Amino acid sequence: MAKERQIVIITSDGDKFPVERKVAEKSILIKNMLKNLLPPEDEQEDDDSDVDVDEDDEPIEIPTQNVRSAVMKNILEWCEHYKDYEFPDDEQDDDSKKSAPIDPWDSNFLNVDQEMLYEIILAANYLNIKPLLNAGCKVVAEMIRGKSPEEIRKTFNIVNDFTPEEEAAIRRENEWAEDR
Amino acid sequence: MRCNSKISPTQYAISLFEVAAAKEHVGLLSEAAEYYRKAYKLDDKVDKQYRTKLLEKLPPLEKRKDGIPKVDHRFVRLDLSKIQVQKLLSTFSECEFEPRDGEQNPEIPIAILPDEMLMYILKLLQLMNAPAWFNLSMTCKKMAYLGFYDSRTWKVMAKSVYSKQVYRIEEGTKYRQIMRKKWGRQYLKMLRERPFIKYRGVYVSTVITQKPGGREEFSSSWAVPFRMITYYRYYRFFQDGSSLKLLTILEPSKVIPLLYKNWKELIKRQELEDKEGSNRPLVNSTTKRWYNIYEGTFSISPEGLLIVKSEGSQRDWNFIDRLQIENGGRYSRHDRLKWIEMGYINTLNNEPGTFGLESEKDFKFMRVEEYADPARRV
Repeated sequence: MAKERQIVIITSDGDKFPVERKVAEKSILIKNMLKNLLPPEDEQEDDDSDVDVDEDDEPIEIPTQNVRSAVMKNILEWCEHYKDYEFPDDEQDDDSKKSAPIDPWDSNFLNVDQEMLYEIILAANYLNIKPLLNAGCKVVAEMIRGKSPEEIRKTFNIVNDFTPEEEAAIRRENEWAEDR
Repeated sequence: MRCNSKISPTQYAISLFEVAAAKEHVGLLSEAAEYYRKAYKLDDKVDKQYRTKLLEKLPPLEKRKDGIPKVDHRFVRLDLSKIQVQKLLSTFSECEFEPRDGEQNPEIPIAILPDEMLMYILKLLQLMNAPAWFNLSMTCKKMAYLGFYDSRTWKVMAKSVYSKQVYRIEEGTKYRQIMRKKWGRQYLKMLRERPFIKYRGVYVSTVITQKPGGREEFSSSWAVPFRMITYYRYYRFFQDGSSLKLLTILEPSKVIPLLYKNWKELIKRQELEDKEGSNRPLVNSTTKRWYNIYEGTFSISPEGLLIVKSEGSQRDWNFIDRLQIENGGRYSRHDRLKWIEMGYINTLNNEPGTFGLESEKDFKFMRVEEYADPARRV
């Protein structure tokens, strides 16, 4: 293959985003898809591919049913920022990495309203972008830090559905686990 | 506290009374008595004023027609004896978020996250900030189910807690099999039964003793006065097996800001700041000797026997404290250190010895939020 084939991501609401391969491959889901569609140059054309690729210069279209355009725009901005950065393998030593403070760039990038934040988290999970998923959840964790249960309820607009007895009993039973 | 002309004597008396109450709360009875005396001198009805002020903070009158609740006004008089918490939690499995004000604002953005994502956030909080995990789990039935009932939550905690313990190696290995047999994958049971050292705070032992005093010369008093003495023992432990130990008359608020690994530097910095004229010196020449912090190392057995070896007041001695990690009560776990032995070894002639434990009190764990600050976490 002489030149890179164009990759186009199609959102649930029909918008098309042309992207560089290395940006798109921040999503492990897309990366694995592309592995099947775009074999490395030294290999033969893969006959098993289930999308028809008769012509090499036709762009590859990747539909993402669960992600709407406004969210995808954010996701791709994040991928673009990290396109030259190799994230270390997530599987090992995950707990120490998880408890590390959030990257300031990520924290600034994810300074969006709650609806958008949760949609980004959902999309990062669906597209399998672990570092973004992790950053998003850390932003939620930051929203909770230092707040009382009542303040957390206010933040999320959720009601206290315990009876006073239930609340007191559950608190008494589990309070010890806070200290460690 | 400065006496400001804008403040009436009564108000000043109340603030003295509040200081006294705070001192009494941490066991500094002599100091508390002193402040109470000063407060009464300014206003002999200060106790009533104080009570009025406290009452203002309580819920409105109709809610306390049965008298003033003693502890936490929200929970008193609740009958919890019939609630089996685990059973109760299990009934929350189908619960969903409900909006606080359904008519005005029915939107709950976080509700779009599936349970796995909420679990992931709880897990992050478990690892980064346990009190936040607890508070999130206390918000509603759905979160309580995920945060307290789902076994994954306890697995995360068990992994994080026990991997940070410092075990004496020889005992650790033989115990592993017993452990597996005893608890297997029952992580909550394990956490409840298997002792661990807590790092996010200090262990404090408060000792209050009385000593007979002497009458003043030419005193015609019949009673022999006595002196009330309060002293504290502090222990702070670190995940790398090191410990700090302090015996002092200073209350927790004065000691906690200095119990870091760089305590020497902190004390020096504090001294300098005091010299430069801040109004209340924390470490002045008279209190300096009460900041003799001793460094040491500790280890525990899987059964919770804590051994701390440290330097101490005698230069050629090694001090060895033996304490057992115990539960403070049915609902507070692994938060006490019970004295087993306070010993030493004279390194010059290798002779061991012990001190009496008659007046010693057990240590209680006290959480310190600042110790969780990642910038200062060691």
